[in-house]
Amino acid sequence: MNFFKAWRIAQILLISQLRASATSRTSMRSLIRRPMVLVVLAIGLFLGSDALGYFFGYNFSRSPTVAPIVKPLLTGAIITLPALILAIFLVLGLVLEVSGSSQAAASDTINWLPVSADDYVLGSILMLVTYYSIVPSILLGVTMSLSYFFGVLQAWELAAALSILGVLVSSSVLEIIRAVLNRFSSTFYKRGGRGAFAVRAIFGVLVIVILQILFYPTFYERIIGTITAKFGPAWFIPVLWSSVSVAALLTDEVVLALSFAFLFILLVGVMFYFAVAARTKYWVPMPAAVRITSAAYSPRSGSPLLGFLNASQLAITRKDLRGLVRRREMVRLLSLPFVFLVSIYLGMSRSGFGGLYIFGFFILTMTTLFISLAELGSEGKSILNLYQFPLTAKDFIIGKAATPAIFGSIFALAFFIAAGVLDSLFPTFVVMLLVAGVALVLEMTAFGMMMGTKFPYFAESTRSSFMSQSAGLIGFPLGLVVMGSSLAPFLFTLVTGMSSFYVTLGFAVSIVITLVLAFVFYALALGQARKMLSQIPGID
Amino acid sequence: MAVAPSIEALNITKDFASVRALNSISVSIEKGEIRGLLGANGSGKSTFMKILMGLVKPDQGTITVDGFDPVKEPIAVRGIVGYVPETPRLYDYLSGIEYLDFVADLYGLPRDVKKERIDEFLTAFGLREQGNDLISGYSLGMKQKIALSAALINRPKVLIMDEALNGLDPRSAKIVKDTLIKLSSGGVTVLFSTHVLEIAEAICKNVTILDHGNIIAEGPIDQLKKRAGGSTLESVFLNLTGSSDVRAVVEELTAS
Repeated sequence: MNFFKAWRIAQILLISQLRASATSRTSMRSLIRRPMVLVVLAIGLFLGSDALGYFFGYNFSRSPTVAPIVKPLLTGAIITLPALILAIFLVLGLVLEVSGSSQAAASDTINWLPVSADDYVLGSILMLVTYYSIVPSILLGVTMSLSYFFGVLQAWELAAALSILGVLVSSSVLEIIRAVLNRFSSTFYKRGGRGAFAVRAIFGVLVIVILQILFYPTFYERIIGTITAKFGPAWFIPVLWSSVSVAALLTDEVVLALSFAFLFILLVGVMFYFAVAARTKYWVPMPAAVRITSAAYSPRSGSPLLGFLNASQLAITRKDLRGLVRRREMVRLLSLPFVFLVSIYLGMSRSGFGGLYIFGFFILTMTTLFISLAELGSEGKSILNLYQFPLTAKDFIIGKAATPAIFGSIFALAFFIAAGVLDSLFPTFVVMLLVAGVALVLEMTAFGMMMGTKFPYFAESTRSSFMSQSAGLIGFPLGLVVMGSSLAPFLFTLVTGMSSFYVTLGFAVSIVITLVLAFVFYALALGQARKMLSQIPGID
Repeated sequence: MAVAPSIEALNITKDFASVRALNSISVSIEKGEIRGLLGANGSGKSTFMKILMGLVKPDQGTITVDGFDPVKEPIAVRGIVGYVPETPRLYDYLSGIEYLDFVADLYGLPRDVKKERIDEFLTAFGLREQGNDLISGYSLGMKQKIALSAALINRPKVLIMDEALNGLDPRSAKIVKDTLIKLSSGGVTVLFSTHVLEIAEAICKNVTILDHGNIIAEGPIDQLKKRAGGSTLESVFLNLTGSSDVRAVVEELTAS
C-alpha cells in the first residue's frame, strides 16, 4: 500500500466532490471547496464545541441539582458516541453514494492508472473521513470537557479512539456496498429487459427505505437502550462492540473493555480487507450492453392514460418515465414518498390517525415538488436534444410536467384509498381527499415547473441534485406555504370537526384556490420556458 | 432572377465574456451546396453552427436559413434543419430505437413513416442488431450514427454537421459521404465542419476557413490551392492558419 498515492486519490476525490456540490463561484463557496479548509474547519469546530462543553461542564458539575441529571445523560452519550458516529457516517456515505450520478460514479480513470485496489480504498476512506469530519469534531468536542468535569474522561478517550476507528468501518462497508451494487447493476444490465429495470428500481427503493428504518433515531435509541442496560444481546452485534467496550470501562470492567476494543480493532482490519477484496474483484466495471427487448421495432400507439398529450409531449413524458425507472440516480426520487411515509409513521402515535391526512398532503407536496423541480435538471447536458428539435415552450412544459403529475397522482390515489380503507371512511370523503390530492399534485407540479424554469440547472456532477440551490432553498419552503394556503379552508374544517356542509364548502373553496394557483404557476412557467428555450444554457 | 441563398449570415459577431468567438463574419451558401467549415479548435466553427440553429443568439448581424430567421423563428428553423452536434449527448437510458422514435415524435412524423425511416437508418448504419440495446453501451461511432439518423429522420432541407464524422468506421464514413452527396444533388444544403481535410476535399466544392473568429479564406478548393500555394487542402489549411511549424513541434515532442 502506498500512502502517498492514497492521499493524492483522497485529495482528488475530495476536490471533485466539493466542486461538484457548489454551483456558483462566490468567495464563501470557493473557500469551502478547498480540502484543507475542511480540515481547519473541523479543528475549529472541535475547539469551539469543546469551549461550549467547557462552559456547560464547569457550571453543571457545580450545581447540586443539575449534576445528578446530566451525569447519566453524559455517560449514555459517551457510550452511544462510537456507534452513533459509525451510523452517521454510514448513512451520510450512502446518501452520497445514492445521489451520485451514474456518469460520475464510474471511476474509470483510476482503472488505467498505476493504482492498486488498497491504495484506492484507503484514498476513498480518507476522502469520506475528511468530507464529513465536522460531524465527529462537533460530537467529540462537546463531550470532551463535559467528560473532564464529570470524571469520565478516560471513557471519553476510549470512545473517541473507537469512534475514529468506527469511521473506518463505515467507510469500508460503503466500499463493499459500492462494489456489490456495481456487480448487482452489471448483472441486471447483462440480463437487461424491462423486468430487470423494474426489479432494480424496487431493490433500490427497498435499500433506501430499509436503511432509513435501521438508522431512524427512535429505532436506534432502542438498540442503544439495550446496550446501556448492561450490554444485553449487543455483544454479538460487531458494529456495537465499540459502545460495549466504553460501557464496560464505565463500570470498571477493564478486561472486558479491552477485549471488546481489541475485537473492534480486528473488525476494522477485517472490513478493510473485505473492502479491498471486493474492490479488487470488481475493479473494472463490467461492460454493459442492455437489451430492452428482442422484438422487432413497431411504433407504439399513444397510451389511453396519456391521451391528452400530443405526440411531442407524449415523447418527452415517455422518455422521462423510462428515465425514472432506468436511471440509478432517479431511484431516490422514486423512494421519496416511502421515505416520508416511514418517517411520519415511525414518528407518530397510532391514536392520531386522522392527522395522517394532513401528512398525506405534506408527503404529496414534497414528493411532487421534488420530482417536478428535478425534472428539468435531470436532463443534464442532454438538454441540448430538446433545443435542437422543433419543440414549443408549451410542449416542453406539458411534456415535462406529466411525469411528476402522473407519479404524484398515483401516490395520491394509493395513499388516500388505503387511508380510507384502514380508517373505514365514507366513500364520499375518500373522493374529496382524492380530488384535493390530485389538485394539489397539479398545483405543485406547475409550481415546480415555474421554479425549475426560473432557476434552470443542467450541471452534471458527482452528486447532482438536479436543481439549483436557489430553486431548492426557495422552492421547498414556498411550496409548503402554497400548499398550506390552498388547502387551509378544507383542512381547517376537518381539523376543527365542523359539519359536513362546512367541510364540503371548505373543500370547494380549496379546490378553486388550488386550481387557480396551478394555472397561474403554469402560465408563469410557460413564460419562463420561452425565455429559457431561446438560447442553450451556459451561454453568456 | 437570382435564387436566394439557402443560408445567409451577414456580419455575425459573438462575444463570450471577453473572448470574441466570431468577428463580423459573413457566409452565403447556395441551395444544394456542400460547404466545408474548417478551422482549428476554438476558431468559432461550433458557435457559428449553433447560431444558425438558433441555439445561440448573435450579438450583431442577421441570418436567414431557408428564409427563416433563427433568432426570431427558432422552431421553424429546427423543423427544417437537421443538426448533428460535435459531441452527441443522447439519452443513455434509452435504446437506439427508442431515441429515434422519440425524435420522430418531436418532428411529428406519422407512425408508418417513422417505422420506415427508423428501419432504413438502422439497416444503413448496421445498427439493426444493437437497435434495442441501451445507448449507454454504444461506442462513440454508434452514438454518432444514431445522432446522424436523428438529424436525417425528418428529411431536412438543411443539414448542419459539427465534426459529425468523428468516430465513424470506414464503411459508415463512406455511407455518410455518399449520403451527403446524394442529399446535395436532391437540393439539401449541407454545412459541415471537420478536421479530416481529405473528407472535405473529397466532397466539398467550397470551403470556409475560420481562424480566431475571422474568415481567413473562402471559396472553391482549387482556387484556394492556387492562392495559398498548396497541393492539398491540408497544406493550404496549414499555410493559412500559420500551423506550418508542425515539423518543429514533432521534433521537440520526440526529442529524447
